[in-house]
Amino acid sequence: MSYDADIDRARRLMPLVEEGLAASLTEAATRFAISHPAMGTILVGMATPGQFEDALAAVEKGPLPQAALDRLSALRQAFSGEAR
Amino acid sequence: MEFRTFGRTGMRLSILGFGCGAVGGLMVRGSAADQERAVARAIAVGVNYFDTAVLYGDGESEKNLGRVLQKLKPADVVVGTKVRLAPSDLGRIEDAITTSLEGSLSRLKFDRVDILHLHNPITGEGGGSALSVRQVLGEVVPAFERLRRQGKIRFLGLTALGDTAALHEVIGARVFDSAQVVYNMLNPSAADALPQNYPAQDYGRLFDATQAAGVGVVGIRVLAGGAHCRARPNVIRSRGRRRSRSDRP
Repeated sequence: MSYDADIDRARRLMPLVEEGLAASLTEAATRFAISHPAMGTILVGMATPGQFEDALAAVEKGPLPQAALDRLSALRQAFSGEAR
Repeated sequence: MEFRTFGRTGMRLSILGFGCGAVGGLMVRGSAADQERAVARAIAVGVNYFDTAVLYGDGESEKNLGRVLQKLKPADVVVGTKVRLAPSDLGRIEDAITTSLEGSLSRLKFDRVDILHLHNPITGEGGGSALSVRQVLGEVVPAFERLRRQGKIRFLGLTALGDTAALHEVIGARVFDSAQVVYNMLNPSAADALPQNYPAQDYGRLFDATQAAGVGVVGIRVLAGGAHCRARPNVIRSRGRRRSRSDRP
């Protein structure tokens, strides 16, 4: 996946936030990553101590609820057939 | 903070780890005061895994993490670092790994690291920056095992980048304890089948393989799909300009 295409697709996940399933896409991304039981620990890049606080706050909300995972899965379907 | 058992290592790691990488770059380019404040805060809230690599700032990340941990002296934190072999190392893999780890230990000011991860991508036949399955299992693993016997590392790790089939083969060999796996909202293929013609590498449910082999998973690139990325031009620089897809660190 190219970086630009990633950013474009990330924007198309905004319904997660607009529909109240997550407070922000960053929060959604962090909570998504810990939603699978195989995940042991996640690494989140940080430029500032404040970004650590964002990751911590997201992790403390726990894994995404099933409704959010289902919505995400539906939103992802639209990416099929696009270039990487 | 939630803690999870890290595969067969039996270690209980905080679900939020502390990445000391070039993405973001706090532990490479941040001020010493910010670095110390962030690590102290992380430890205070229960974070017990710290991940670094020689490659991050060409040793700077290890030096900075070592300096901060030396000062804070936390009990029971787990530190992982990485070794990335250059093409010129391939005739002398064991020596190169040993030399790299000695450098890491010296920068970190440790006698031992908990996990040593191979940082190269892994493909069927190797080439470029990638190692072949045969090089990993036949040369890297024996070198890592020797370091483990010497008490310089506790666990063997890899970075799950490269060809999906090669990654499954290496994890299925049950010789690694840790794998750093790409898993995010845009690419959930380590867990689930992707939709048809989906624009991402299909990792072929790699979590099934890690779970079967008792391999602990470190989630990487987890924020792809987070709007966060927009504010982080460092991401582009640290990945390098469009090298081959398997060549990104």
